[in-house]
Amino acid sequence: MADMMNMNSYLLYAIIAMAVVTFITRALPALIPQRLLNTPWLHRLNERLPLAVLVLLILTSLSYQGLFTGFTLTAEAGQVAMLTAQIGALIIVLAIYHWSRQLLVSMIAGIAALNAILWLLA
Amino acid sequence: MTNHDWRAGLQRSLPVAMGYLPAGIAFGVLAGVAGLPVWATLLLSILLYAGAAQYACLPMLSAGLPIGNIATNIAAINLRHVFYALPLLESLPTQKLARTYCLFALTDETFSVLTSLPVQERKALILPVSLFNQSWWIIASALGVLIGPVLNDWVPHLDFAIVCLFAILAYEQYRLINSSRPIIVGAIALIVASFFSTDWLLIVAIFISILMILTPTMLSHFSNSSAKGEP
Repeated sequence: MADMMNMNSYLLYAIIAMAVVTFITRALPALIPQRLLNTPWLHRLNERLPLAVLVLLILTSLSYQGLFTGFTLTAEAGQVAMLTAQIGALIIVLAIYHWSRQLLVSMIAGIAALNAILWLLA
Repeated sequence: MTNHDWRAGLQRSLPVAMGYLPAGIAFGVLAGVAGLPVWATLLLSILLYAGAAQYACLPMLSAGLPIGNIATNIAAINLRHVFYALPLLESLPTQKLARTYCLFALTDETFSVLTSLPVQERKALILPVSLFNQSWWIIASALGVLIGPVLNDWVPHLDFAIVCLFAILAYEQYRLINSSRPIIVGAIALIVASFFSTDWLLIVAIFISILMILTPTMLSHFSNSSAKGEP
């Protein structure tokens, strides 16, 4: 019961914290002088950081952790199969999106491809 | 006193609804898969109201990352919003609550719709469009919460949809800026950050990415200063 309450307050505070930082980024132009936003380094970050962050989010979602210990391969067969399936599915997602520009279709194809490759490798 | 055009606002928000309904339903489903309670899922769509950030926070919340860490990651993901209000400052409602709400609700889609309108039409439409757009998003999240448990029983590895979405968003970013350098930056930053920590992996990697992106600007700044003979 205490754990449940801790979990709920953790979620509540996390959501409020995320909401506050997001509101600050959106309201900033109305709060500070415009010339402070018009700096070359902020424009450069705005242009390039989103793609770098997305790449980080993709890479950290892949199940590569524990694949190596030092420089020796220590993964179990199941994990290698999962990583292979994830990479294969992402290539299929990008190919379908490149060709069709359909967000939902590409995502469904990605989940289908992941399951299909896992089934083939099992 | 601002006159809000609710009918035209509803019309302008319909194309956004076509995008928000599937994306919001997917969010509701995935939040359920990640083990988030219903109230937290809806509160995210009400208080955070940011597509990519809402998807990105799910794995972080399930992993129980420290709150400061999560907030910093979300700030980095939403950095682009810093510029959105600039061209719309003149069009914001004069009434304080409405003005604050319009700043709060300035998502990619709301920004795109409003900036595509002629400047003189914006003031009457900014509040209705913002409110209708968020309504679609909240309704879609609730629908996702409802169908999530059924879908999750039928489809294995449903949570992989988030990674697919990230890949598509990355593809769109790549087309927008037409440069693959940030991809290399992200990959190198992750390898370097892996040597430091696991709990703070993402945040350290983002920090390293920022340094790598800004290095050319800093270098040219310093070489300009020295060329001018400044100390």
